Amino acid sequence: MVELLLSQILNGVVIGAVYALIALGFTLVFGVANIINFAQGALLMLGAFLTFTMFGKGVPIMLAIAVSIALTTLAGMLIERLALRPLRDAPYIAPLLSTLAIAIIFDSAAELIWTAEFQPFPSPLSSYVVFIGAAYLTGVDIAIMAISLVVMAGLTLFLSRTWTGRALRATAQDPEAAAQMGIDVAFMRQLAFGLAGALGALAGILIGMYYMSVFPQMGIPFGLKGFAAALLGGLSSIPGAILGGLLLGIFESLASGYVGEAYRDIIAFTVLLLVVIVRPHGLLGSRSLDALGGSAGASGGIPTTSIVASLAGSTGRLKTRSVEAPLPLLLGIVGAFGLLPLMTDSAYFMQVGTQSAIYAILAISLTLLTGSAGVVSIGHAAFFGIGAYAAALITVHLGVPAEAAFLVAAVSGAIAAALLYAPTLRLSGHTVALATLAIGQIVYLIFLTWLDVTRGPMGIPGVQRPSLALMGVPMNSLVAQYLQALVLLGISTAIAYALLNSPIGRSWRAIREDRLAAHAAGVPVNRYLFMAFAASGFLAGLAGAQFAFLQNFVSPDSFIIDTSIILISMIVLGGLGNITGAILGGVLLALLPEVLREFSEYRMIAYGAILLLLLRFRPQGLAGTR
Amino acid sequence: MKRALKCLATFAVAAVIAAPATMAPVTAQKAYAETVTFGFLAPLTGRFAANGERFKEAVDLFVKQTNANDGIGGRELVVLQEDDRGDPLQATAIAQKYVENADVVAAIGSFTSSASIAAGAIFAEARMPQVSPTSSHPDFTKISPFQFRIPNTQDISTKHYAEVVKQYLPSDSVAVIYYQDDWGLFVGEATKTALEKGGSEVPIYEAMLPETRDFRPLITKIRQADVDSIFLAGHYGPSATFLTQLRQAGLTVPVAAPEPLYNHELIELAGDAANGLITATYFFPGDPDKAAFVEAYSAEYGREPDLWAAFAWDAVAIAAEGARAVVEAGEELTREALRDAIDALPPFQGMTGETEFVDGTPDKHLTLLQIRDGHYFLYP
Repeated sequence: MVELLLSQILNGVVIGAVYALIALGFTLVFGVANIINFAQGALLMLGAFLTFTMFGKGVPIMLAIAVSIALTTLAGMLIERLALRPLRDAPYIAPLLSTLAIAIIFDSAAELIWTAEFQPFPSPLSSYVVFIGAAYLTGVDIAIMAISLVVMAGLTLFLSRTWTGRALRATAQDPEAAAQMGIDVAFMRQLAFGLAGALGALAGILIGMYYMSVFPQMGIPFGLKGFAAALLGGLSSIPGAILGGLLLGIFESLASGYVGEAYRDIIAFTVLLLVVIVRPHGLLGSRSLDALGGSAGASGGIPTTSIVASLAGSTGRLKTRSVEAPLPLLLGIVGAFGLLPLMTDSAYFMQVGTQSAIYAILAISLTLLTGSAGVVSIGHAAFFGIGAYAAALITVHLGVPAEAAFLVAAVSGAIAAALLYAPTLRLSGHTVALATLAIGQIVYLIFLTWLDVTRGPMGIPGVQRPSLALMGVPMNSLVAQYLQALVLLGISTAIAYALLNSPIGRSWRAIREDRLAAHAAGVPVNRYLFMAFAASGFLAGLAGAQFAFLQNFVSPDSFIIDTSIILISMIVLGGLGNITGAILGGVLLALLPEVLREFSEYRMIAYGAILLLLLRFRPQGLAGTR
Repeated sequence: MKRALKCLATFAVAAVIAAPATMAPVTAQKAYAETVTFGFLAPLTGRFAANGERFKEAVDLFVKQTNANDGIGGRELVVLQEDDRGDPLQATAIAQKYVENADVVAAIGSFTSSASIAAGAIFAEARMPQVSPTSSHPDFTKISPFQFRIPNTQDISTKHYAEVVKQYLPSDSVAVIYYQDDWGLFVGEATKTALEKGGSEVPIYEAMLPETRDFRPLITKIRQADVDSIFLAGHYGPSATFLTQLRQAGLTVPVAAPEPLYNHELIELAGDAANGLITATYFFPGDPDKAAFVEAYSAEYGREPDLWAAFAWDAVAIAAEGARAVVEAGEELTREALRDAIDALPPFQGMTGETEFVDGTPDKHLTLLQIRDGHYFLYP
């Protein structure tokens, strides 16, 4: 028994060392630029594929590795130049999204260049195997562990002993002061991205060797795990990244060994969530500047935890005006779309129109929570999904009328959001992002594995569109669904509008701007946040029910992390906390893939490029931040 | 990278202008007065892009050959193409689009059962026949009489799998590993039940999650359970990693797997670790009956067709055969007439064996293969 336990721990250490290497890249960029670089996964993939290509062309493996690392370093610096530097004065979530847009572009381009298939990766060391109990180590495992330790030691020495390293740390602590001391702060940030690129490439190459294969989508799962490991260790701590990686690997391995392979990720994310709740600053992170919004908060004119504050510390929104349509105008526009079925009987338009309305409701739901109350939610697809499953199950099993189904779905969403997000009350800033990400993943994995209720990946087919109890109006046709979605959008708009323009909305914005100050001024912070969770979950559940009826089918595929990220993109594009913006962003991002469908294989690249351009030229959102 | 940047620049500009580009169908080699139009949907990007690409290649080749050879009873075959990324949501939007296009008389697709089923409800309502190259989930053809599939249903296939394991492998104690998607869950569960009914023990019954690539904890468990053989219901990418890690761990347990592991990429990825694997297929290019297809495909794309290409070929060929029957009988080619014609076709000798539909589903025999020295050979 002990042998089995030790073997599973050893298995965990091996995969954990891989996570640790990826985590180091996140840590470095976060420490210096105070930004979570979503393109880290793409850099990892790029490094691996460059090596693969050069090796395939006959370049010796060591040379191929060296050149790939150099090229990926340049790519990292380019990302800083394109995605980060122009957005210094934008809300801090904007550069986050722009790294995401770059990741989309890289991943899709890689699919075009190298095809979507798995490619065999050269792995000269993997034929060397040592057995230890029921586990084993290969030459690659030993290399991975050795390289993680060397890199960690090297980075620590570099940061503490060299002038450049000290300049990097100074930039991390206080960019303004560093600039006054003559440090080229912009270059330091670029350097951090370059180093992150080099680490990413190294991790990608080692992962390629570990699995003896590479594929263009590899950046996403490994990026996610590396990100989780970095947060677990305490985002800006280098030994923390290593510890976080190893622990995550060990949790996973034990979960797989003792509970079941299907539960490994659920358990890994649950443990991650618990650690975050107990130690919000991570295992080895520093909590010294937490109250002031971390190191960036301390560098600006006004210390702030606000998500609308820019990386440079200023609340950039003061400089821009927001556009907000009055409620009657918004409702009028939504109502005018109700006339569309008179002009066209195209089912395609009805389908896309209904999807747009669903996304608009979701964007409103998220803008209440993230935009207005300032709780960054990267797990919002969970409540969308809970609403969809609730509506599907209740209509399939009980055959209730539409109004009841919508009410049940919305209330389920509200209760789920209030319960699941309750642990995030104590958290702020990036740790909220991590906790909500973990919650979103856990809920998705429950959809996928709880076969008795959700039927897992098979989904729930044959969801009938229920009639209205009101005069028994049948809602079977697509046109009826379209009109129903518009009515729901109108109701959601009215609810959100009433909330945001009431003292509740003002309290939410106060909490977003400075939770400490709001608390000191007598705002019952927790009560208001609970209200935000419930209101947001309510609307997301409503959207989920409409989604289930539109599709007649619900499956976990629709509630993956990508959906949550698209939702965040919508509200940032539209303008945080702004209902007009949320509707605009929601409809725009729902339509964009459809408009771009004609470009087929270049579609995702174009999507990423448009996102990038919009963020570049309108970082405060199309309608402006409220 | 350069190519990517160039594409990016082009499409950033193009997308901003948002010029509604017209769909470019495969061009005909000679002028036809009339057309027969099908709508094809498959994942051309994303997780299943590798499979969708093979579909597309086979369909393109079929269109080219048909139109070079007097089309369908003198009409040009046009196949519109859309990418659903394997996503049920996108599949339904595409289905609406095809249903609305009055020219489209049949749909070919999609790859995953979940996307096919989601789109199927829409095709059923519009009374348009849908031929799926691969959807083997029993529910698919239960949607309506308008759904057809080229493979067996999973329950018919699974019956064969359990027989193979019992007949050719030591099977007192078998580990069943399945990929956590609609296909893998069904095959894993049904094979486990069939094996247990046949007197085997199944001490290990575990899922491979879609994004997991690290199977060492699972392999450590397999070693502890000391099984006689492994049944691996997975796709080729993760399965190659599984086999590599299994053999690295020094386990020599024999492995049998359903038809997704008949794929040359598996051998390329897993190398020596793939040797000894027993798998099954509907299509083996070494078969002399299929030489013409194999040659034409290899000449066009520089590689041998795989099972997916053969499935897609049969799907579009059967739909075309149905359309030919309608056209040659001098009837009007409507969606409903086409459905009836497909249903009434005599047994169709295709690339994946003999297809004769009973309620939209065939019952085909599988060919057994084994990997030896890095090549597939007929087994036993």
